[in-house]
Amino acid sequence: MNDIESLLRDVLAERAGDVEPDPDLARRARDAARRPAGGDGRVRWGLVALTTAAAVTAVVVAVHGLTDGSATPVPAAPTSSLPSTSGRVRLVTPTAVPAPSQISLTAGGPTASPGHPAGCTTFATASVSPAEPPPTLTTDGAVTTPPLASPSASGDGRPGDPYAWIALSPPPSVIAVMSDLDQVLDGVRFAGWSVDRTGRSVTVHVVEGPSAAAAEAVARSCARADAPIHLQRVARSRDQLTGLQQGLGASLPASLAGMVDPSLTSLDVERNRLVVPLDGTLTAAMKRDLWARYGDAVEVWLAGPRTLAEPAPAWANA
Amino acid sequence: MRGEDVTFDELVRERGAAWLRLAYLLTGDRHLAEDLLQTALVQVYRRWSAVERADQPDAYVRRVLVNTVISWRRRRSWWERPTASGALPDTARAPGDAVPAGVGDVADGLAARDALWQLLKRLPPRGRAVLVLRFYEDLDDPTIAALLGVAPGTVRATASRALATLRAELAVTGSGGVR
Repeated sequence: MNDIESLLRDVLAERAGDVEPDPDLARRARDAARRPAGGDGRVRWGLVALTTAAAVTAVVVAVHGLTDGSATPVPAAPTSSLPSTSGRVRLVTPTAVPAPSQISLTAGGPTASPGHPAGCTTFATASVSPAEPPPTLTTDGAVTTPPLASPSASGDGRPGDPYAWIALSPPPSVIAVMSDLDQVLDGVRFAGWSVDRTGRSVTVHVVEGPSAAAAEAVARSCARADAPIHLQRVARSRDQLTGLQQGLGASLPASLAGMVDPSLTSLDVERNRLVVPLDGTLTAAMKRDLWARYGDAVEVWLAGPRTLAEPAPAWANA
Repeated sequence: MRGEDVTFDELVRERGAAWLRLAYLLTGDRHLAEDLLQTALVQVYRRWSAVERADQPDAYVRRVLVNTVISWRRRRSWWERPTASGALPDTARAPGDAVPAGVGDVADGLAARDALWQLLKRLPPRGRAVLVLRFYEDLDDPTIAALLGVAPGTVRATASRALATLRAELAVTGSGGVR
């Protein structure tokens, strides 16, 4: 009679032994990760930091005029939709439920200050190959919808999902743009960025508000010839969603607190909401309570096979 | 090996095989393991300054890798629930089948190993990760907790639940005398 732990050790060691070394891994990883100018695969962070510091110093006065307004919590308008049959339960707008005016989104955090209000023009030239043509933009900066031209209809490779784009091996210029955006975007005027299903363009999610136009200009400056940037306006900033995420444990109703592990929540940048996995079964009352508290800032994902068979609650179709 | 002493390429060349084995044990699928490892390495590359400052760049990468796998499996598991049944894939023999004399112990052992591997793949992502890190990587609970970003008590509880699940499922399948 074997103890399961020793059997487990044996099985894991045996299965691990089946894995052949991948001699191509280093090259593929390097190709996928390398910036256009990264000769030996090492990022010149020192150069980036120096350029960044100079840019921040030059434009620090302008920062104050760009951060107003958008930090105010702005819950999105409720949308009506039926629960999906793919295992996802989407909170929908019940007519008998109060509007989500009680939503509490706490702004703040270390990313609240824009580090590069002037955008990539303050430093991008240091990392762009001289051979590259000037950046162009494929959108006019208005509210746009990210292109979803993927032939995939499986539902699991959504835009913004790193697994989706990595499987498509985005070109180095797109990876470079993503890296630039990480430095340029702040948590107040932006919700983040996502890569489309083709891996060939990036969508920047800009918070609607007085600073939106300036924020879009910042994002637009990061586009490159073969790495276009699309713009999409959203209701909530990254800091707001992060604040909601951090305070979720305290703000959840008691009936749901035991069903949620706050450490498993995640931000869905593309859909501008916090994804909260739940272990258990939601009653209609719980769903109403969730909607009343968070509106569509929170999306609940139910784990467990019973999700598929769960009928749409009556209040969802009212 | 400190991060500042090694380049990204050198680190991948030196530790890539071990990471791939870990990714495979975490996913149960070779191709998925390669893809997720590459995803993790892209993130590592983009945060290379942090890796360079790390005393143990290998541990840093493993942390990114494990969390990449858990995140992917978690997301996928909520998108897709293809079956609600507890049916296992085929094993070496069906429970109760007659076994030729003299090969019963061997068959039991193979069936138990195969069943355990299949069951491991069906565990929740964090439970599977805890077991792999504990029983393959031989990490202690505090190290696993730091790697997963959870409390040590959570690691112990997760491991306990996962092992209990495996014991119960193996008992149901009749795949060998495992306690």
